[in-house]
Amino acid sequence: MSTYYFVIVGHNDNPIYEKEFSTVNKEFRKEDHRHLSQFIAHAALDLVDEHKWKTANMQLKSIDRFNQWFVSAFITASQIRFIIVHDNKNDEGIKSFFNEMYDTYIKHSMNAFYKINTVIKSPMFEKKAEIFGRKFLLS
Amino acid sequence: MRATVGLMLSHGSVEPVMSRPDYEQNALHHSSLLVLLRGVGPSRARILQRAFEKVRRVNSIKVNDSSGNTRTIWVRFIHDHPVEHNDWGDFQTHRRLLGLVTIGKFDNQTELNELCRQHESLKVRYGSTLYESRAIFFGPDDPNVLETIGEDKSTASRRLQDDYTTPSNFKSQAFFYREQDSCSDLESRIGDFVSALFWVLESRRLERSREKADKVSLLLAPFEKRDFVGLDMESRNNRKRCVGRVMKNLADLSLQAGLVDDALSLYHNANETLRSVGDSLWVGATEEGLCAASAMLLYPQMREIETLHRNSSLQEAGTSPLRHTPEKWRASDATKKVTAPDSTTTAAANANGEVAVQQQQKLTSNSSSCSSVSSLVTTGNNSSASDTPTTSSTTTSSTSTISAAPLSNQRNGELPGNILKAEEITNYYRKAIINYSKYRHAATIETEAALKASRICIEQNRPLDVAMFLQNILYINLSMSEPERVKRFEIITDLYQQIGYQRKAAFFQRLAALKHVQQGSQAPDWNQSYRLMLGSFTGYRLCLDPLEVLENAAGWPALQIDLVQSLITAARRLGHSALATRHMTFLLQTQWDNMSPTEQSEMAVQLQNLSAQCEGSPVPLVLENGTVIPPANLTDLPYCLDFQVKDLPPHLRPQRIKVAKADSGPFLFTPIHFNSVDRRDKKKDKNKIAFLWVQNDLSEVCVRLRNPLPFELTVTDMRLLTNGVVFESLPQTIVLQPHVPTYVPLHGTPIETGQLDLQGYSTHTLGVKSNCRLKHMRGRSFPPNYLVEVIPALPRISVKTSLPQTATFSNLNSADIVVTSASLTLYNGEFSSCTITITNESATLPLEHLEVNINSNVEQELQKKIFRIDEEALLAKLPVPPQGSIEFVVEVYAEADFVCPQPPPSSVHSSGPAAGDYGSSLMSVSGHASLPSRVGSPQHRRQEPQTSSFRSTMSGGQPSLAALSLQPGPSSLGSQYSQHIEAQIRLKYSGGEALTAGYCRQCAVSFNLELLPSAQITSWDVLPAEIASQFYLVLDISNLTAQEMSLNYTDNKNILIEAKESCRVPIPVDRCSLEQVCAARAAEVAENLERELCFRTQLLSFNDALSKLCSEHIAERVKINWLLTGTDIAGIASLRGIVLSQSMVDLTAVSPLQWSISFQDTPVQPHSELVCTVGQRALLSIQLTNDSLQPLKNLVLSIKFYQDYLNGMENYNLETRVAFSGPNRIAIPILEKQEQTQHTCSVIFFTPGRFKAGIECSTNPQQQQQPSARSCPSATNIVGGQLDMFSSSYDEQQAHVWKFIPPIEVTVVEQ
Repeated sequence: MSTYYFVIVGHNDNPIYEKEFSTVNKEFRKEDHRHLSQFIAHAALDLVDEHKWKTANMQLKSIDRFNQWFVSAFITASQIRFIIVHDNKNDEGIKSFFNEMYDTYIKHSMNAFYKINTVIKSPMFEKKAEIFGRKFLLS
Repeated sequence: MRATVGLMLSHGSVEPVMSRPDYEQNALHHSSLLVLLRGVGPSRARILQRAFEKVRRVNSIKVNDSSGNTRTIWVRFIHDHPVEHNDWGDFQTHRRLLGLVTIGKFDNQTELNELCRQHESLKVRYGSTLYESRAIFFGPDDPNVLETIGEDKSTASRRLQDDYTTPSNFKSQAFFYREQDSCSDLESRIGDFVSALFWVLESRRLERSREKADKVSLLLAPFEKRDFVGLDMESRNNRKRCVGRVMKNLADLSLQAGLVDDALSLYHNANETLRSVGDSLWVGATEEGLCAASAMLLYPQMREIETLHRNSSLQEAGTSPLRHTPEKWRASDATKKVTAPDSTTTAAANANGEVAVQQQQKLTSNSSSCSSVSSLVTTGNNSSASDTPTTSSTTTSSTSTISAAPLSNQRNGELPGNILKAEEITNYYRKAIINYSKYRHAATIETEAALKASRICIEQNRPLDVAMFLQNILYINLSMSEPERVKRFEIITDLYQQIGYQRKAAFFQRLAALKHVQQGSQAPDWNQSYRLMLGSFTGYRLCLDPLEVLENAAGWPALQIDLVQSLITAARRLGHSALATRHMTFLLQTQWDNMSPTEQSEMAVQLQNLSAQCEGSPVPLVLENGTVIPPANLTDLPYCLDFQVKDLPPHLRPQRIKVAKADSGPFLFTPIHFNSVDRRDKKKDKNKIAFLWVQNDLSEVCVRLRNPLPFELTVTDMRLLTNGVVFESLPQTIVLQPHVPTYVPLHGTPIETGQLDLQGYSTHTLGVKSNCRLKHMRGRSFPPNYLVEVIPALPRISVKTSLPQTATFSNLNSADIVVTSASLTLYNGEFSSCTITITNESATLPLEHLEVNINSNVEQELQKKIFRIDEEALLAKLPVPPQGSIEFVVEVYAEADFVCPQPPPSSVHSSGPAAGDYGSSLMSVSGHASLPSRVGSPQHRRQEPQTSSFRSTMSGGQPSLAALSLQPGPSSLGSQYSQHIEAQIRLKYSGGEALTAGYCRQCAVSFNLELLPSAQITSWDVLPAEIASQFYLVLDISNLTAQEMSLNYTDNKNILIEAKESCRVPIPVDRCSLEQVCAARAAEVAENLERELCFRTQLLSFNDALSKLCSEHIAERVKINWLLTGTDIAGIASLRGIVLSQSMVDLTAVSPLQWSISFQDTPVQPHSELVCTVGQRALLSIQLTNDSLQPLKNLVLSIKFYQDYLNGMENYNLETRVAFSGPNRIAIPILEKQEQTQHTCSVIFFTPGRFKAGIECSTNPQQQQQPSARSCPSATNIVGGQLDMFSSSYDEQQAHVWKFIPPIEVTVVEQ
């Protein structure tokens, strides 16, 4: 049983895409959970911003934790931050997931009708996230 | 926060073990002497704040020790100290309380005794560790010596001590001061006190240092006591342990005693010793000690900040200390990183300098050593220089280079080689923490160590390490009370804020806030919770001003909403409903777009509930701690779609009074220039409204609002927000249905003249008052404001007419200025009048200017005939006083064209004379079956003989009814049908100041005039009268009314016409004199010469002119008065516009040919009886004179005898009865002006009877065979007049026939 909260954060600390992946059935999940994850992800932004200058790597690995939750991050070239709040170790899966999502994000941002830093509402993006989430995070 | 700590500490003073971490501690406190500084006695201690500060300021002294070296001794004053913390004094000596200072205020002996008692009890409490104590007492002011205090303090203080004596059991040293005393010697006394402490400490250190290594006892941390029970203390390991621990203890003492170098080496030794025996706890302690000693040398400025910090927090004890924490050396933003250290270091250096200056004054200068140390470390420690930018305080060193240079060199030699390098400190701390973490009971120590480490890392500008240490604190398993936990979060928050991790800080601040009020908490502290929540705003990119939040549009909406909601809850629980309302408003205003519709309506309902307790209004709220909560306005609830400034109603709209342009000399202003000026003006002032408002006149702004909520929204007290001139807004209340855009008019009255600045409107909805300014409405292209010019007040009038109002308003231009209407129905030719009453409605302004003009849908000429106003009489009645009124009369005449227009040439001529045929064709052409067809009526038959000669429209042979043209001719005033004339009587008026400013108002009375047909002349002809000077105008007049009409057509002749009937009347009219014709001709020629038109046109226009002249001649002379019998409706029908054919003109005008005929040498008189006998020759002599202005050409004089049977038949076949001698047709090629020609012939009648002779003169009848030869004049004869009619009616080819009338009648009798 593991849960993942994935969020893409824009330049103004604004979430532009949020998604949760969980092996737990929806009925058992607590409503509060997502909220807490959001707070943790937000608090981790300071560390993301610190780490991104310390490494040339886009993968920032696990950079923060709060109680049982870990925060892994990925930073794109345009300073868009990918963050996953998770409660079990899965470095490889997260790394792959980030890479795939980055790819998807780049493609989406190529869309002339998409304005950088705004909420992503594409069903295609959603589907991809779903697929990669299942493939790399939940498997 | 410090105040909070103090509060908490004083509450829970009975703690079992050291479970309460000292969160304020930093590494440098290891070297300080701990002194308890307490206010005693009743809570008046706050009055003594100044004394507290003075004492606290003495945080270090310089002491010359026995060997002559100068040592710097540091003191740390604390407010509270749990006794059990002293137990850890062996483990870390700086935890021991060494001194006690109490400050108290007394007014009498009893109170002094109480102060002494409290002091003593504190002494007893900390007796085990206390070295020395002092009491500072402030006595009452002696009014007698008040003025002498300044001069002679010693006497005053002596007196105080004389007056009051301390109890006998009070053994401490006490200082007495008056309350208002400046206590100038206090600091030196505290300095003495500290040095006393030092000497005791120094003796202890020396004692310890002289202890024999094999004699030392085992020092223990409090929780270790059980562990060592029954162990062999003499074992090698334990011996080492004892030695190591004592060494560490000695190091602690040395550090406190100012011997940093000694301490360092001792720590190193102890560390090695203890490590070898695996005494992890104490190893950790030595490592921490090493760090502390190194930090003391590396970062002396930390102490200064500490001092500064403390002072500031003390001064503003009530406020949150977080707000005053200096923003740490770096911001999280990487770009700032480069510049940040410089500026902040400068700031810090300045701060240092400030403190240093103070210290220099109080104590012998030591601050230079601080700065010099830092500069020296930088040079000596090249590798760490880059990592520790803060240590390279270049500014500081530059200020102190000269004085400190030799000293620093000196110190450089002394700087121990075993000092930890900057980056090592972190490692050592890490190790220490790991060591501590092995002991459950050392959790407090571990926590403190982590905090100290993070403070050092802050100093070193290593935020990641800070984060690491702080992170670690959370995982230290420390059993602590909830307040302690909260306190821990707050400290973490503080430290995160110092490194600029606002988001992290906000996270923990929020956690702390939640902990304060979490479920199950005994005493939820909503106040603290609220304070912390508010503090975390910045971390979530929120600020209190909604405008700014909307402007930035940054942050995580879900979290922001959550935070504000928690804040609302806290405010509500605090009972501060104004705040709750304010925050709820803020939430709705700023997060509207981020909420789902359900959330929006939920929040709106919540706001309504909250505001029921306390109404929200747009004023800033000030919290107890001075925080100002700026107003929040619901600018988009309801959502404003449109904001239109409305012009005044058209009839009240001010206009410029048009003045005749003054002669402005040769400079002309062209309209083009004018426009361009206007355009430029518009560009300059986009928000400037083009129209004007009038002072004291109700003005309107129309706002289109949409209610975005799913329920009805009531907006009350909606008003306009204005600036500039005084404006009285009228409140408006509306109920908005969900999602339906609604127009809301907002009214108000400008009270002054000048420029009015419309900024928006204020609302009161959901219980919240809001000022909705246009400039704050986002996403719509509103200008920030609208500027309207307000002109001086204008009078207002009301207009009444004596006539009934119309049901419909006119559709004339500018129908909107119509204020009232009048309707009138008149028969054509009728007179009437209308009285218009103007009342000046304004209360103060007179009506001084009034202009009346009439505008209608008929031509100006006609209009002048219909309406007449005596303007002069009207103007004489001005001015109209306020509330006064005037009247004026409009005369109305139902002007109409009574003459039936000429039928188009294509009409009826193809049809035969058969009446039936004609009738049908008439129907088919005109389609007006309603008109009575009089064809075949007996009356008509009776008149037929006469009509045969009618030529009004066609040849005389045709039935004259053809002339009854009933075409609804396109000409406007066909009088067969009722006709509507719409007119506006426009009134321009002004008065008062506005008049001088050149403004007026315009209103109008709509005048609806219905003209009913009365009499109509359907056809007409001209017949020769009995005398040559007259002719008969024969008119067919029909009565188009529904009533019997009495027609008066000459002076004394009346005729009655039944409704819808017509009758024929002959009217004798004087002929148009030749002089008139000549005059007309001359005028015509002159005019045409002027125009240089061709001859052809001249001739044409001459004919036209003549025709017109004749027409006018008739119209002038013939007036037909009609009266509808049984009513008093009467009128005059004029013959204006009657059209005469050429032959009629010939009859109408006096003939150019003067006939002079004699029969049997007797001149022929009209109607005279001529008698001759059968077979006898009768001489007929005709003399013609051309009286006209031009020669007459191609004249044919013809004489024809005929017999008139008086039944319509004329017999011209008289060959057997009459014979001529001589021609009966004589051609006269030309008859010059005034020329006479004579023709004489003889006639012989063969049979008796009555004969008539038709003598006529026609122009060129020979050429009738070539009618199409237009170059030839007189192409047609009269009989072929049809052709004539078909072609253009009057041109130069027109044949003229002049008859001698009446025909000569000759009665032939038998011989």
